[in-house]
Amino acid sequence: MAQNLDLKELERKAFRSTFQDGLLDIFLGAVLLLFAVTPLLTDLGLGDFWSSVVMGCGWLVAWLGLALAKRHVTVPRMGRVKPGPARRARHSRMIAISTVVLFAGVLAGFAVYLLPQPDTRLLDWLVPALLGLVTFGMFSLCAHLLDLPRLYGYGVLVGLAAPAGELAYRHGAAAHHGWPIAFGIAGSAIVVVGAVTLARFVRAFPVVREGEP
Amino acid sequence: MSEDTIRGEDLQPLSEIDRLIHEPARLMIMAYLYVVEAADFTFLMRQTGLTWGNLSSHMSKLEAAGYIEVEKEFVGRKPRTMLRLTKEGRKAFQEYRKQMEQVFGELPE
Repeated sequence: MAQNLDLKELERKAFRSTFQDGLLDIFLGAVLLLFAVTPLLTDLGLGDFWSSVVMGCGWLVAWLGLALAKRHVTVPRMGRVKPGPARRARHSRMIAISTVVLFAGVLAGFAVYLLPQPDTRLLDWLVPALLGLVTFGMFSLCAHLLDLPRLYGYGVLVGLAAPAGELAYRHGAAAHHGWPIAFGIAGSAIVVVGAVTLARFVRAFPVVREGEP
Repeated sequence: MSEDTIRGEDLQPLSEIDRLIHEPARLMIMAYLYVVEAADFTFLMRQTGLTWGNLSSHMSKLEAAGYIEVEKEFVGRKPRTMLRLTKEGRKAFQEYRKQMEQVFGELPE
């Protein structure tokens, strides 16, 4: 029996069970929808400052919603677990690498704008391509380090959103570099996946109260 | 004696197996607590598929043996029981794994 007991797989199963509520998906989708909606605010007459304020408040609401839902929906159904040292080290690695990748992406973005460009058409495509690559890289990294394969799929979807939006914009089919349409579709798709997962989770796991058989 | 014959000394480690851990439900509980730092009652119930009463009874045995420690707390007005392996429990589980590997490793095909 001990030989068939794969402890690594057991740990992975325990950890992944905390993500089967679909809340992370809803959170990620909501953040993408913020990217879709914020450019439209300028059409309503809001300046860059107020658009940034709306974006910041949106992030805050999404975080609070995630934390509250975890506490009131997931924990009473799935219980609480504190990960072991190996998993915590993996998390720290993920945060460190994500920060470096994000910084590198931002620096590369600045460099693209600041360095002299021989051809402006190159710049038009370089930024969305870079954005797509960085987002795909970030999602893939999280998928690998969190053991959540569905994040690879989201990475492809979101990674393609920026270049696809730019393509629609170049053909006059969308405004604001296509962000409202591209990120709107990607965000909505991810929110729908999360909502379906959450509905299944709630139905499959009723609330457990300690002491009740 | 042919090579395929099981000798008495091959099975010697079996007699030293920790029977408290060897019971399947308790083995699952110990294994889960071995791979995480701590977990609450609900989490273990979901992961192992045991009923509340069953889990509770196995927990009491493991706690009495000093293999796990139980921490009861209140979150708001709701009770929560957190469980974790003690040093002794971790050592006993490692020993159990070693013994089982030895038993199966030494048995002829």
